Amino acid sequence: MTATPPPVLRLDGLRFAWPGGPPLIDIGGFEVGAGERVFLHGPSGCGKSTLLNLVAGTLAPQAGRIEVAGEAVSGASERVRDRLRADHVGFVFQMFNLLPYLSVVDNVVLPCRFSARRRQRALARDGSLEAGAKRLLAALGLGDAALQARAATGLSVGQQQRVAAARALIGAPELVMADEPTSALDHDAREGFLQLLFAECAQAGSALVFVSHDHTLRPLFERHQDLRALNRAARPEAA
Amino acid sequence: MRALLRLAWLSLANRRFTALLTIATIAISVMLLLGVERLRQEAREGFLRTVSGTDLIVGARANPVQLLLYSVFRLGDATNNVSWQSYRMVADDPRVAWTIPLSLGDSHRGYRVLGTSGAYFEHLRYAGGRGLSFAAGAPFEGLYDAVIGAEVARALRYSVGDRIVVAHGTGRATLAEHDDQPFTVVGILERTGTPVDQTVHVSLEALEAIHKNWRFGTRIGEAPTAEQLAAADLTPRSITAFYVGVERKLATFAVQRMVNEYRAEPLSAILPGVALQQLWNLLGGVERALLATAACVVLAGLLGMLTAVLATLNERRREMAILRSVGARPSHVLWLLLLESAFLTVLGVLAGMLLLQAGLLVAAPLLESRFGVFLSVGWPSAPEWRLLGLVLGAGFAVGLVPAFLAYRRSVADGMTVRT
Repeated sequence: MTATPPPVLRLDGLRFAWPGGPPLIDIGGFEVGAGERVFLHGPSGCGKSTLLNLVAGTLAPQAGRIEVAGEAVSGASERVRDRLRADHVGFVFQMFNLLPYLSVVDNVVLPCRFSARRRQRALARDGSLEAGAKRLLAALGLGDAALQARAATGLSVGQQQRVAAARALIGAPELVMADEPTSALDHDAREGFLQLLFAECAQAGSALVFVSHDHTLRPLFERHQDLRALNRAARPEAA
Repeated sequence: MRALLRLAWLSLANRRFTALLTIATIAISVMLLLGVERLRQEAREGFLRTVSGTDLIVGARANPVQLLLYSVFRLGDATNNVSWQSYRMVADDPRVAWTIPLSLGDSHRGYRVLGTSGAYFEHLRYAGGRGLSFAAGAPFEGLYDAVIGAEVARALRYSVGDRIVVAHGTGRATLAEHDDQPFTVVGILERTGTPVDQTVHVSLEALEAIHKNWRFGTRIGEAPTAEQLAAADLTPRSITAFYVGVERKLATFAVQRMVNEYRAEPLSAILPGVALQQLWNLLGGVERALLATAACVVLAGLLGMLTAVLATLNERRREMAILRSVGARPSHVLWLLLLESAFLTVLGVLAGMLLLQAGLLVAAPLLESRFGVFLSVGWPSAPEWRLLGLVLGAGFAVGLVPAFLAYRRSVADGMTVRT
């Protein structure tokens, strides 16, 4: 083993509030190591989507530091933040992940249109973007060629989430952030989806930060963190 | 950029119904604009070429536009006539190749009757050198022969061999008719798109003959018999105006000066091209108003596009958020929307051009035969290209509005759509 690689995600003294609003994020410190799988438990109202936007660089914190793959997101220009997101982070959302007017394969390839780094990594691994997309889709149980050529909207929700996972993983980003990707799936499908996601994250060497309020999934992760404990500004709504 | 072009295209294709409607709106407005512009050019060309090949028009001393109005357009009346002696003086000048005498004053059912000579059918040119040709029949030969213009023949359903009666004066409801000396239609001219179409042509001698038994606007006695007419001298004492063709173009100004400085009678010789240009400038406001109207229609078309694109912005916030999450910059979102408007405008303009060409192919022969307006099918002219450039520019400018809004929203939304 060489020297320990830098954490893929590092938050330090992070604070954010909308102008004139109450503080939404106040995180002392949080790190995710390379290839780690973290379950971030967070009911609604504890600053989940704000945190996602901060890591993505689409929001800028008032104070503190955010590093993704060893590079500072906080303090960087908007252009650099957009590049860091494109290069190093794959996202999977709760629902509506796909562009309805693109085919399944085109949806998966999308990040490579905005990141030269991920395009090169996908090309280096699979020879062509399309081959890379098809390999990931096949690994996620969507190997059917007719299905891959279909418009994204023709798929079931479960299938759409697997396409979104393939898109997050193409070009092997250091970090995959998933925001309640299983909430629209039934229980059996949830576990199946997670196992596939874990396998492909391990294959790509990507760390996974899985944000969810669903406790039943917690045992599947090697590390868990309650976002309410992490975020001192969290004010969860009454359940 | 190629990826963005493809995304913009596919996104648009996904909404093809509204996209096609928008394109159709722009296409129709562009077709109208180009059509008006072409019609304007052709009308101007046609107007300026109402008389061509004629070097000078000579009449009693008058404003050039007035002389043009009554001699060419048969509008209004001459203030004075030109004496036969003065006409012969110019016609016999060695620098003059030909002359066409014109004598106006009578009418037939609202159409002017023009007394002239055979030179009219030989030398009169219009629309840049086209000569008169006959749809039926031939030039007049006998005394009571008449040649009618295409519009006269169409409106009054005349054909060769029909007998017509000339009325004294130019009123539509005149009661004083030369019904004792009817004419026979011997020829019908092809449509020209000029006032020739609305004219009944007879010989100068015939006009003289039907006025033999007239004094001060009323008929006196019997119509002259053929024998009397054969014995009589039917040379008119005066004519209304005449066209002049010179031997060499350089002589035009010398002949013009000679006429204008003619001592025995106050005469005016005008250059028809110059006078036509002056007259067109008087009428020019109408064509500009027409073009302005068409431009407003295009503007309405582009605003329609603006509405159509703006209406989609809300439902596409999620699309923008997804693009942002996979690494798109807000400027990518801006470009996506700009490209979309550009696609719509360019396709609309192209479709408009095609529609116009198709429309012209169908309408041009009809317009030519019915109205004598010659419209050429073909590649846009320089002013039309300029207009198209303006439309494209305006389309892109209008496209900036939704693009900028989407940009602002995309910055604010980030990857999550706040609802």
